Amino acid sequence: MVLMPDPLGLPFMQRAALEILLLAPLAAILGAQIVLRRLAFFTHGVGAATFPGLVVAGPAGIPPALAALAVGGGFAAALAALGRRGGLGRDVATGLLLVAALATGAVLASDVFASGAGVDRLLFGSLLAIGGGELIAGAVALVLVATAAARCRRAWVASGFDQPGDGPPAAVTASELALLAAIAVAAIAAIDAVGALLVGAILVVPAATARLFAGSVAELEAGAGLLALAEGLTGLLIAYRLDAPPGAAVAVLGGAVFALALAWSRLAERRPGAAS
Amino acid sequence: MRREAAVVARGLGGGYTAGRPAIEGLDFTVPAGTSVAVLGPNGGGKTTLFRALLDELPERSGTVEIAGPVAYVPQTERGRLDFPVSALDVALMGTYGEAPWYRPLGRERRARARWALERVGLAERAGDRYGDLSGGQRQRALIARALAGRARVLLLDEPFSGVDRPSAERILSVLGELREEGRVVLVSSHDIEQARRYDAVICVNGRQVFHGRPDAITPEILRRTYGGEIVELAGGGRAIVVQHHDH
Amino acid sequence: MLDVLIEPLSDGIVRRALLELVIAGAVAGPLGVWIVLYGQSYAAESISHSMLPGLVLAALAGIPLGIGAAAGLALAAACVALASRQRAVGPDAAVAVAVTALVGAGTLLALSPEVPVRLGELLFGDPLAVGTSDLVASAALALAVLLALAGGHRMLALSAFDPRSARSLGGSDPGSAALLLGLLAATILIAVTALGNLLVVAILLAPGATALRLSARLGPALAVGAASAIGAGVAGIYVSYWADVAAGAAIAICAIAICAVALLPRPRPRRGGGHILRRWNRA
Repeated sequence: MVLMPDPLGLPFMQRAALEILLLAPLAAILGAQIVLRRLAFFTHGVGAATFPGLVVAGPAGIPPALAALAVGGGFAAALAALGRRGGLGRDVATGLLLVAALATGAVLASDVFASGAGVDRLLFGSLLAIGGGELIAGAVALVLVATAAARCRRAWVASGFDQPGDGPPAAVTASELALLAAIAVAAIAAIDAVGALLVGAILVVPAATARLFAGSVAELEAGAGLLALAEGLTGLLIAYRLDAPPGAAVAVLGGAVFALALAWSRLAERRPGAAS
Repeated sequence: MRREAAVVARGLGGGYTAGRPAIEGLDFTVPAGTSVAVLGPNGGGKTTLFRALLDELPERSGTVEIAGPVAYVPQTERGRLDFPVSALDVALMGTYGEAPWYRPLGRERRARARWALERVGLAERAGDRYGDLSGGQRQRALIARALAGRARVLLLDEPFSGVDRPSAERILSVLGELREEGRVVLVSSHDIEQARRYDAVICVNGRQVFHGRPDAITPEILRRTYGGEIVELAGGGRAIVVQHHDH
Repeated sequence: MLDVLIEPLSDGIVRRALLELVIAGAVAGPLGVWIVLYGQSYAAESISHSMLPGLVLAALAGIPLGIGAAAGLALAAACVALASRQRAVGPDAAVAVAVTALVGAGTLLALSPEVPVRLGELLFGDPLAVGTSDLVASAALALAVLLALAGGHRMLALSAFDPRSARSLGGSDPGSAALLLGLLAATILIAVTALGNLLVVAILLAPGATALRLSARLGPALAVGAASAIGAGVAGIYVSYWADVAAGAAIAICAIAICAVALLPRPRPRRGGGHILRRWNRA
């Protein structure tokens, strides 16, 4: 990859690149779990549900990170509670909680969805949105997730192995709750860079691509992290060139890489004698 | 009772990807009114054989001749317990393929579904939610679905797994009656001891290892069927299979 | 008391909105039951965002946005169908890839200076702006979806209950999945004008979950789904009129409130006995 010197000389581009560097380990650790345990919808849900919280926080004078954390934490806790009670499939519960959060946001601030310059930035990310505060938030998120992973990763891998993601989830264990919370934290951290609607571009798509080739959880994590880093940085440059929201650029790039990787793996499968 | 051939397989093979057959070279003839146990290790091709008989494999070689409709009876553990259907609805599903989509099912098919539930001893539970039935009752409801579809050949996938002993006996006696009526019952199973209660046994491990009467099975045949998975017990021919459930 | 119900009806906008929601609910409720049974909540939620490229291209080309929305939804449904069919990664991760890429592509397209409307407006729309021609189009589309649901009922039931046996019983798993996603796209097209892009899934999932909680059999479940979706739509319009909140949000909250009440734990034995609907079914 050729890094053009001029965009990287700009302070906001440096900050954005630093943010991607902070997000890539999150994409590695959590992306693997998201793909293996079918938590993609939860990831999307917790990211998008945070959006009204962020919109409401501004005028109300609440720090956005705090509002986002409250909504994200509430989302994860409510989903875990619904899972414990049973009777509702996890994907249905995720969808209902997401809509409930969005509808509540729309009632609290009836102009939430109407317009305002901030909306597109929150939905699709912005290069200019990343300041020192966002970087600190990203670093805190990384420390939190890394701590949770250090304690629980073994339990995640073990329990994810024999748990199908669809259908009513079994009783939610402490390690699983920690996983949901970690994903919520990571999704909130990613919103500044890629936007609430496109959190999956950094947390799910690279891991899904790596899944096509990975033979073990460690390989999956390494592949997801490297792809997130490469796609994130390239996406930033594209966004800068096109004057586009970085989330959109990373998403399209990630989709294209996945499509190519899928085609490649299909061809490798067809070739007789290859990859037994 | 007439003893005409109901299932004839010649050089039957196939699998899910081209060039990589899961089963190869199966040759067997099953007369009408016979029960057959299909033995083999996990991944040995028991389910693939059933898919081949149903003509649902992407890749198939050889020939199969089957007299009469075939029905597949899956493991109950894989069924949907939260699905909003009664036992009668499940039986009725056996007739869905007969009517074109724009025609109502009609009285005759509903009567046949009730009759099928009676045949398996579930008439009392016809209105009960499928998910509220016990494992054995669910298995019988799925057998009723096959009967409602007028199946002459039934392929049962591990019908006794997750089913308690009395229910298993009940299912076995239903299968015995179906055989008396001249139907063919193929049962895939892990249970070598139980296989002795069938008219014939087919041992599959990628290839056909054995086809014949159960009392002709030797420890050598079992070893070739199960490879390293088998543990022999002292005292003449008794053996158990170490099961690996990998999904 | 009665005035509360009658007064809003003097307003033509409200009358049209009510009619639109009855039409949308009659389709979205039963379809929601199938969506929940097939575990396609993620697809239902995401397909509505994925129509973005279609909307933007329609705005660029100057053709009616409705046609762009329809094309965008069809493309999204096709992508999700393709994504769900592959086995290399889980279906939900594949849906995430497809939807993320489509939303991103729409956003990039919207950067073109020729796009007349802002992205936010394309995504969120105006719930109460339903014209008479929209109503006629919605009604025709709704009728088609209901007919397809009735015609495909047995195929959908076979695959949802037992996908491994569906083919031998005369069904088709790929056929069912394709039918479901096609009908999902059509239903979102009907309901999106009333609820807005981000909230449209409420009138699918909430009635579906409500119906499956209250009914032990498929036929009653589809009826309960339709009833609760229509109920949520009508109640939402009244709430929106009197409380002066956005109609889409009011409808979504009503749908979820109905679902929450239905989900409340009820004292019933696991086997035998049963609640009223079940006893009614059995009779």
